[in-house]
Amino acid sequence: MMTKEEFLKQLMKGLKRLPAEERQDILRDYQEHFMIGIEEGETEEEISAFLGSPRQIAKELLATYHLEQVETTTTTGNLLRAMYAVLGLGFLNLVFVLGPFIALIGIVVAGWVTGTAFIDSYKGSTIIGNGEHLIKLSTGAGSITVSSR
Amino acid sequence: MILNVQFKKGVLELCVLVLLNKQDCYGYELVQKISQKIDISEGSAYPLLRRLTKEGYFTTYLRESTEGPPRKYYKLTAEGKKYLETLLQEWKEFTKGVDQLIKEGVNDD
Repeated sequence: MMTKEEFLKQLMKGLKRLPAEERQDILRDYQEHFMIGIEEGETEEEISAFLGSPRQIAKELLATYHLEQVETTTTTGNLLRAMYAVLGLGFLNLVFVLGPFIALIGIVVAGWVTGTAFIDSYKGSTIIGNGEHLIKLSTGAGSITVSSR
Repeated sequence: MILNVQFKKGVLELCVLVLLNKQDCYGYELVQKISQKIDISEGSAYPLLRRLTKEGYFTTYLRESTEGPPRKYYKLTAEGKKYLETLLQEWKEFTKGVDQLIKEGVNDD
């Protein structure tokens, strides 16, 4: 059972790595949710129980944020950060994400070795992830696109 | 269970789009309308709303409320409507296929 204060504190703690502006925006959404819930006659504890674990919500928000960064500009750094964020969602991800990720790196390396023609000719996509988050990896036209679902 | 969580997420996305197609809503309102019908983790609606807004399917605006501070409303964009139509089509084909399989399974018994 958590009060509004405790819930928001845990949520913000989980979002430490996000830019301040993004964090404030998220905080406002959940503050509004608590405020309206209280107006409707719910207790803070009831509202936070229905919302679920703030740590899990923070992980979801982090994963979404990092995947967006990958979509805008794909560099090895933010691709790895996105993978890391998704992995943070749970142990099972290790199996569901890491395996296909290593396979993908294999494809990329093979592409470099045999020239970009390989990637150009390899047009396809694969969806990886577990119950919490899915990532779609598609290759074609000499590039790899990562998008969240 | 893995399938179940992911399945619910997809359904949640569809529900949010359907509700916003009818009228603009604020977050709490959306969450209440959905959780009255299906069992969801209410907190995960906000990450979804943020993602769909960033993808250009919704816009947001603040509207004064009689009871207190202004509330953040979500509005479906033209792009969001198109996306909803695609999802609805997929949903119909999906449920039709599953229904057929169930029916065949029952007849086999």
